[in-house]
Amino acid sequence: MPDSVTQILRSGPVGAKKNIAVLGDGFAEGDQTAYNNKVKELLIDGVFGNDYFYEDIQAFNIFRVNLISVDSGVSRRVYDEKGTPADGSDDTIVSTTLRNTALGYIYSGSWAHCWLENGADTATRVQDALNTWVPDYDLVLIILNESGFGGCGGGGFQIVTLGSSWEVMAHEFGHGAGGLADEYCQPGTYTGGEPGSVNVTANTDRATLKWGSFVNPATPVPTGINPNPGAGRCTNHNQGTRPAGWDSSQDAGLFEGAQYVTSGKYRPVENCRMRGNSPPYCPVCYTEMKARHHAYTGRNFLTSHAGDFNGDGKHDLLVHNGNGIMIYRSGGAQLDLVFSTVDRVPGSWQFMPNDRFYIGDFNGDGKDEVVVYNSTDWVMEYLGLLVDDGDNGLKLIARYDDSMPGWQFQKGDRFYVADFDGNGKKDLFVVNGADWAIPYVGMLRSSGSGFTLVQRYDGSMPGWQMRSGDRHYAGDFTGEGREDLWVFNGTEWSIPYLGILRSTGAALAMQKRYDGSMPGWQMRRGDRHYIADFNGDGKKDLYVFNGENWSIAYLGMLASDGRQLAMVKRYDGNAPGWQMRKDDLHFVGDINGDGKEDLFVYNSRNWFREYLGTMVSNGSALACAWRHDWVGEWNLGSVDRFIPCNYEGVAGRRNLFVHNTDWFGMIRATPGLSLQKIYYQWIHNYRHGRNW
Amino acid sequence: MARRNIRAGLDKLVAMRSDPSAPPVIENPKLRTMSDSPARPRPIRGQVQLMSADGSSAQEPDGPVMERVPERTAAAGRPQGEQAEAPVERDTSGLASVRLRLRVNRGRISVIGAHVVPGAITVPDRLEYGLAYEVADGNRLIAAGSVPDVGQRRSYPDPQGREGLEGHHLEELESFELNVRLPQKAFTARSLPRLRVTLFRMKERPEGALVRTQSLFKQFPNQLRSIAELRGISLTEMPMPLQNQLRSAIASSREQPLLR
Repeated sequence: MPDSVTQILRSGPVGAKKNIAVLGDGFAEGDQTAYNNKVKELLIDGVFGNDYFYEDIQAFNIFRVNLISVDSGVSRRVYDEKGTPADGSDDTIVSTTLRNTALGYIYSGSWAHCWLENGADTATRVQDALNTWVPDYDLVLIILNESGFGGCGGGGFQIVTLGSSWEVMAHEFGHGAGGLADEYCQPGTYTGGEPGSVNVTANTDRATLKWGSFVNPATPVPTGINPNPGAGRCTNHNQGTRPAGWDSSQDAGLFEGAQYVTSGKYRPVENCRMRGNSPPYCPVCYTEMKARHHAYTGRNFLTSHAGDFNGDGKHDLLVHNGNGIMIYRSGGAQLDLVFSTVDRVPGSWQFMPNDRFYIGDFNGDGKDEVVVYNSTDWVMEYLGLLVDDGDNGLKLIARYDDSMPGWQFQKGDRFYVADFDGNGKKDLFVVNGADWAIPYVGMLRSSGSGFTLVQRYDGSMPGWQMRSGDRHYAGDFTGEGREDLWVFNGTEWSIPYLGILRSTGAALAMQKRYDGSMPGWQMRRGDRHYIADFNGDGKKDLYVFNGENWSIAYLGMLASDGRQLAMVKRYDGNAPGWQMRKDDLHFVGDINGDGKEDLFVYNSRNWFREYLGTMVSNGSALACAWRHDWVGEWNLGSVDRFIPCNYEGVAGRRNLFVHNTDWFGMIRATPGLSLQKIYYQWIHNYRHGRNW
Repeated sequence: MARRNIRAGLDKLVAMRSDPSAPPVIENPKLRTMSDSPARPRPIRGQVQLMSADGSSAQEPDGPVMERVPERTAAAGRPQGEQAEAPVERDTSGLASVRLRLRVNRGRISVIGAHVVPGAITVPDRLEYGLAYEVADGNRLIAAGSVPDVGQRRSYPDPQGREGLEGHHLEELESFELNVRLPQKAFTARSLPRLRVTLFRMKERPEGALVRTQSLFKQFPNQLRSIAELRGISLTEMPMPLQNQLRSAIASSREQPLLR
């Protein structure tokens, strides 16, 4: 078996990521499976399966190098430690048993000798292996086939035995990847200047404390003072009463004892990973790791989706970046990370930059699933159905490669989530008007575990001649419990058309077609439609807006009686409390939870400031309110994107996710527009303070 | 009508009015207002084109069409293996970097390895605590970065926590190695004798963004202390295997037409 390399974590090009090379020494040909399993246990399931590294997995590539040693097990050396195991200077070698291994490491089991040491040409062999297999390494993990405990770090290297734990490795990565200082203590007093590391200080002045922003003003500073200067152990909270609920790794203060002394240096929390190995990083260390690696994750908030992925009635957040996704669970007032993955999910679906996501409850279990489609990153098109994996994540249960019976996927396929058969499972309308000689519409019924084409329309539907520029919407017009298909074409005929095609469950029938005009509304090419039950009668009505084809902007409310539309109210230029403009953008949501769907409205282009407003329906009219320029700390801008959702879990949709490249916000709309939470670059809920 | 912001010179109205009596904003006075009159068909390519009442189309397709829908459709879709097809696009930037392996010994830096790594490199926008390096061609900064963990060897703490062995056993190294990265396009035969690599110790992490064209010391004179420097790389003074590595890195750059 020749030496080889396998990339076991694929996050992106090596130049854009931090690359971890894993080498093995003392693993003979027959040991390779054990080596592979150990790498997975320590690195994938251990370090990258937990807290910070799990969250930022997308910043790293991992390359596992399989080096075949002649002998199984590494060389060993026995020292006579002269009864002073902490002092290696007086040690003498008792014996050395050499084995023929790929890298020539020698295990000693002596703490003062870093537990292990190089053989005669180990450094050269390591460099040769790295140059050959992982030339752009940033961090190196070398696993020795040795059951005794031991590990030696430094210079971005970690050399460990089989007896090491992932927690210690995560601590070591804090040094190697984060430049973090140790926070544990040994008797002694520090009297020098301010240490450079972000997580150790000699400064006890709250006003200038370098992690002061993470310390609650009610927390005493210092928070822990060593009662026996120069002796004892790391000090915990001993200034005043330690508050109930105090978290030893997440509540920041100023605790005496750090970086090899018990006095004179201070650490941010009682027990961070840089002290105790097992706890997660404290806010200071976490933020440093995040800041160092954010650029390597390649992440932003631009591609965000709302969905209730655990069925608790609150909308969660799915963020897609490149070849990774993250799911944040809504607790009603904040978001917390529950799933972070890169490359692929079991099944398998391999995430790519141009994946398109469609969220809906496709199996009727009360939780939202994810349909993902990719038509551009592969040599063929893929459609996948991702469901809850039972552990807050997703797994693929159905995938269609290039085609499914009756439908050949193409680049221009567009999907609309709609329960067209009324069985409680969301289905899909699929439309393609661009890639064939004639347009197509398909009805893909969900079984909960896959999709079946139940009807396809080639070129025309009942009462509707399809054209490439048709725009589609879904909504239950008739109130029969099945979501219907609405089609508008304002550009390819001499007059605009709007058709409402009723779903029979397995086919479509023309319910009503409007040629050129609707009651009280002259249709134009620039009409924009918002399907919404604005009177709460169970039948989807229509908001229609036109800001470009008339001298003033118009907004119409046309109600469905199940057979046709009737104009309830038309606003010419102004809605009560909102001066309509040509670039108004609307988003449907039941803002006040009264069962009548309303509109959020945003305009960042036509006024001197940006305006975000609510247009609340009472069934026959709208009442508007707005905020301008700022919503709390959120500075409204032209790059902002909005997602109506219900992250609070109160009946009805009443919230907004707002996001742009670096910022993510949660906006409540009731009783008025107010900012609930704001995040910068990453979503993390600090016990106190924040990362900007 | 609302007041226009003349001073700003922008065609934007100053502020929205909330009172219901506010007049509508005239977006385009050349356009009409909506009326109840029926829509007037507009000709398309000289003809009035209206949709037929039943939606049927008399036009035959003159291009590719989908295959017929099978008589019986089955819910296929059980994933068959992985998405095995190679992605259409991979890294096509044509960029590459050179990873120089350096040995630092008592203020002296020597090159001990060089490798070309395909793909663009992420350029840091700030310095991280640790050591900092800059690579310059004469006075022109061509690369800079941080190395968080160098010059020290640490033993893992004793798992039993025996007295005196609770933490790391620390060993400061007289000689240590590190990698620096620079864009391959800057790594030319002509530039080698002029290349200057400087290593800095940080007193504290410099705040503020990194200016990618200015010497690190000029940017952060209070935070950085130069501890080692390499002035020029002379190929002929290198051992032959190393010469080959360096030549290979240079030669590769010529083969990459996208690099300029």
